[in-house]
Amino acid sequence: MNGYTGKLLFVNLTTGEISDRELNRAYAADYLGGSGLAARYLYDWLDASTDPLGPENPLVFMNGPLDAAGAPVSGRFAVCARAPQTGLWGEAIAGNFFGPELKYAGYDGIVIRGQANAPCYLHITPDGVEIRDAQRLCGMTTFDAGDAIRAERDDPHLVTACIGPAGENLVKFALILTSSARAGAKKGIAGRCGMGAVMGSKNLKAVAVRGSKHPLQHKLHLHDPARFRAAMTGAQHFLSDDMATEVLRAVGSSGALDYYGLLGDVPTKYWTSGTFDYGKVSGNLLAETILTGRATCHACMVACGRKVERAGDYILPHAEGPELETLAGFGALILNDDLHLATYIGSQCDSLGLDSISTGSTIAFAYYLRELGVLPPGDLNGIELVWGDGNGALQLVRDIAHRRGFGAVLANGSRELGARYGVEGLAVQINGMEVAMHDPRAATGMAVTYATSPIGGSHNHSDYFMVETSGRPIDELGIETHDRFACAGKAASIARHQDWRTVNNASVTCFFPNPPAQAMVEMLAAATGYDITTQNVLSYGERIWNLKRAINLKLGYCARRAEVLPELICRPLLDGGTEGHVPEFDLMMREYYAYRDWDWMTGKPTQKKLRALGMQDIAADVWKSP
Amino acid sequence: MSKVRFPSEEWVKELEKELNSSQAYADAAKNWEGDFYFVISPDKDHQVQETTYLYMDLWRGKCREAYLVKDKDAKQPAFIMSGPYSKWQRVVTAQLDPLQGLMTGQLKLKGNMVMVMKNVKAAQEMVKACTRIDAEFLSE
Repeated sequence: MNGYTGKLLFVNLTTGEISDRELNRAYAADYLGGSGLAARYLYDWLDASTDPLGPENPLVFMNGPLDAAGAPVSGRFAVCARAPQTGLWGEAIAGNFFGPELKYAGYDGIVIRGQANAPCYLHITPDGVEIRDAQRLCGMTTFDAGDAIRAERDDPHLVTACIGPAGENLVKFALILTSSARAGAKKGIAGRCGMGAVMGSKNLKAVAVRGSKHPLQHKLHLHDPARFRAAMTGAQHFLSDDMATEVLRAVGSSGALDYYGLLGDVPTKYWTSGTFDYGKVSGNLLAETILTGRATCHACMVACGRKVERAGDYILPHAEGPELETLAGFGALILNDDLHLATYIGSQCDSLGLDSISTGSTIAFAYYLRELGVLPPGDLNGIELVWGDGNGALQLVRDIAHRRGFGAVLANGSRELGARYGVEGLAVQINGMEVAMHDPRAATGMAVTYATSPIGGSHNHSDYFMVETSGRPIDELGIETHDRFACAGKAASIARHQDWRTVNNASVTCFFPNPPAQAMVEMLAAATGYDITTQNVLSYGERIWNLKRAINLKLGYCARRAEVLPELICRPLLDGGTEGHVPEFDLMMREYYAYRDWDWMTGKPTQKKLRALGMQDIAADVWKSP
Repeated sequence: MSKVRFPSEEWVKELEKELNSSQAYADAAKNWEGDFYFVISPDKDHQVQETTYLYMDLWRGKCREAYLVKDKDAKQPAFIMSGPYSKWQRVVTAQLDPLQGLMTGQLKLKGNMVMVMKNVKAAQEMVKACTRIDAEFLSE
């Protein structure tokens, strides 16, 4: 099966049963891999009664057809389940070397069911799969657990996906962190949706995988190797001369913070201000002062990962530095201009196993409620939350991970924090997911992107702000640029961009470097043998997008109640780069629904649309009588 | 006052004056250290026959000198920003953000990327200064 190993690993932690099963070829042909293929499997297994933290919620790791083929920007994987944070479809995408290594071990994915009666980890090599005791790993950080497993197995080549204390304590936005002992390897963060909590609910501390020591034994079969190589070479040449590659390598993703700050893209003082000295907590200052090296995922030409051994007095575990979202969340969002402290707080999130976006946003919401006088100081057990002082945030990060004190409240996210004090509407979240660090008032397309994302307020299903702020269209896919403040006439480009990024998340490829779409499509077609062209590739993305919508409908999604822009984002800012603009949300959403061919009242894709996408069985489910 | 042709010695001298009289530029570029070649090359849409090199010595919020360079080897500036005439026209008339121009491959830049990324506001103020010059373009 070209581009795939043709095999999935099924593990039941309740019974201890381990088995290999053939990959469903029809599913792969329609949904490719990564979160697309995982969604097709999970559509069959999830329903409204599935407890996200119960043994019946399958946790699926899935790589993609470009993993391990050497394609630039490939080397990622998806981890999917019903999300504890939202109750909806959950997926997180991460890099490092885990996805390709799983493929080298002979698997396209892992399906984990059940719940172990004691802490365990999964050990996968070409020699076999075993469930091993992880009692001594309990309480360890993500980094330490990975290192301990490599030491225990005396196998430095193991790539690990671990949870930290946050995952063990079922924090609703706990992450899974992948690491390896390779020099210059970048951490992989499967951050959003609380997939780490799902793992923790199964008593699964880690998945450790090593591919064959003899790579030829598991050589990946490509449909047309010569065509693949030609497309790959073209993509590599493009990237080597691309300014974005150079910028990301030099200053990392957070190097954009100075620029985005000028545009008003960086949420500041919990979305209530547009003014901050963004350069004081950005990748540019970091590169000039504390950067000690760069780090990379598999087959990457960019190396956007930041290595920082120490930030002032703080020592960073595995010398893993921050990305944009982390520095924004623990910088501008709480008005903290201490780069060292923001960097260290981010490293603590990674280490303790917390999604830094949701963590930073929930904590910033607490700062805001404290300022409003809604949150009484007595509830904080002596922790001071004052704009500009990040020390309170650091303490809360530790308390959230261990569900201690007020951290136990914050561990359920900002929606529940708001509800506790009767101000749920002030929480900047969508469907329970904290909105990412890109303000829709600066690039209006993000309003629709966030509201319609299948996982909540995420930028991982379309980084449309990049199109709007870079002015970089994708001509061959009909993705156009518009004025960043414009609202009318933008919906088709947003939807097409979502479809393209959905193909990326199925392939599974990174959003940061952007080789020409033509080259990526060529590689996908050459690897798999599927009839994928630039003319039809978006239909793959659209099919998967509609499938995830169908899953959410199955799980009880109510579109008209769910697709609401948070109140604070609807307020114009009098200062900063948003220039007083707010998205005309209703107009944009109605245009979006018309383009998607979705029913406004129910939020359902029409039968006609689903059938046109070859989803007859899904159409029947979606439109069956209650 | 008559219009000044872009690109030319007169135009870059005008820009030098505009920058040195702009408090907004002085503030935004107070940390900028590095001289530039702005390289304007021929493209298909216009009648420019030769590549033009404009030299600007930009230092901590001021322009210390600026002139048109006949011999491109005369200087070894810290930064070289290059692109075809039509793209430069869009930049100096504020129709194309220079950073967007770089990210979309319409313009190229060689130099310290950290310095560039931390001084994007200086670039914006420089573009504003360009728009205050009564310039004449070949397409007009």
